[in-house]
Amino acid sequence: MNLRLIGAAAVMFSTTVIGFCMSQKYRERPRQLRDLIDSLQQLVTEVSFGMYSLPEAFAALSRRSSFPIGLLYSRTSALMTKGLSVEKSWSVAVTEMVSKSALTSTDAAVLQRLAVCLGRSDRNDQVRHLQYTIGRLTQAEVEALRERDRKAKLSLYLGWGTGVCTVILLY
Amino acid sequence: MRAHRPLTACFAGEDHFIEVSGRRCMNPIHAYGVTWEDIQATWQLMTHGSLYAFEEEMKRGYITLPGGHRVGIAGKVILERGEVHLIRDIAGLNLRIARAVKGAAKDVVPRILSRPKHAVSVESTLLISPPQCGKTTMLRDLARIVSSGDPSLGLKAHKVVIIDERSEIAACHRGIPQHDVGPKTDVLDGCPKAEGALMALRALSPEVIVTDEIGRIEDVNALIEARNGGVCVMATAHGKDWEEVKKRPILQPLWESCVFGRVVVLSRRRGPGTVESVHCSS
Repeated sequence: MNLRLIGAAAVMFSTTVIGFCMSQKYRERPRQLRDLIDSLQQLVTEVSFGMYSLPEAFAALSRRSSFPIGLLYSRTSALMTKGLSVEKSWSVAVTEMVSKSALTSTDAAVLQRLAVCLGRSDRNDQVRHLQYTIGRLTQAEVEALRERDRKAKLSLYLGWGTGVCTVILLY
Repeated sequence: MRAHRPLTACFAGEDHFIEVSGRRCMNPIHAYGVTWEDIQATWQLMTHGSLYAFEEEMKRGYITLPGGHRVGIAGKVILERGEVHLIRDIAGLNLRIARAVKGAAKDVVPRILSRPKHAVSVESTLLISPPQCGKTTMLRDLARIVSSGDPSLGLKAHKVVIIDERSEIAACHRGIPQHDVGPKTDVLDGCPKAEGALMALRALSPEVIVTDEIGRIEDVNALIEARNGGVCVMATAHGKDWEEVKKRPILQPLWESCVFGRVVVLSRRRGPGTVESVHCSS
């Protein structure tokens, strides 16, 4: 009997945690997208007004941005300082950051597209590319907010409900 | 560095080729052949992959690195409305290592004082020489000495403003001069000479304005304006000798307005910074 109770508790705990994690991903994605958009807007200022080089701008942004977005800039800056190209550094940093965040592969693809343009042209063109990326991410944010409203609570209840159903079936 | 050609370095005015091991040689066959990729990688490191940050400098055909080192660029020049827009397909980089030589102007200072006996100030001075004869090095040291003052000559410390259009005189990094330019020196880093001279007059109340390589009529007019404002001016100009420079049409207004009290002619006869002659121009 005790073993059954322990098993039921374990099942309930596991499914609830899975549901909670899924729900958390839906809740976190819009927030992280907003952080990313804000930081890219700051990058526009650093490039167009401050005329700072990319490693300098990234180092400043990494200090101002919260986790995991700060990681994108700190990694890119560190890799560039080691002598890697902007394209390679940004690409590696995006992959690393996305794996530690609630962002999706679609969001990652938008950021990866920026890799080939960063630092390669004059100020106006850089601003154009950054604004385009900001636009795409803003669309993704709207979609992420819709998804959060629809799926965050659902995932939480689904996790908990799956646990309850499994326990009833086991009994 | 020239793509698909041997790596070359100039030591004390003499060109050498560089082997793969890093040793100098005179035969180009033994030298390291610079690849296109070498140029691109070097360019990427020099610009930190941020071309936009060097946009204006590139239009002039060179960029300045921290430390005041100048990198000349060779490649395909793209024009926009008849003006240089950018240089692409960069295939050659010419790196000039800058170094400050403290004391380079020591022997010149007594000769440009307005009253050597009770030296209270310096005369406006123009340094003339062909390229690579140490004009900028001497100008930097002049700025340092004038800003610090020299009690042995009775020279008081002056408030100096350096208009460092190409960041070569003070080699500022994040606004801080990397070379010693004196305790009472302000630097307008990366500022065009014409605008800088007027800005300095209005905002920084200088006693001496220092600037490099006068070449445009706007620069000439700004120096005349500064001189008329009661400020002493120190500048450089390309030229073989005083007679040749005197004939340059663009500089005529400077002589007509008696902007410079002294003209110092330099050469590299006994090494860079050799003082050939000092003229009173007024």
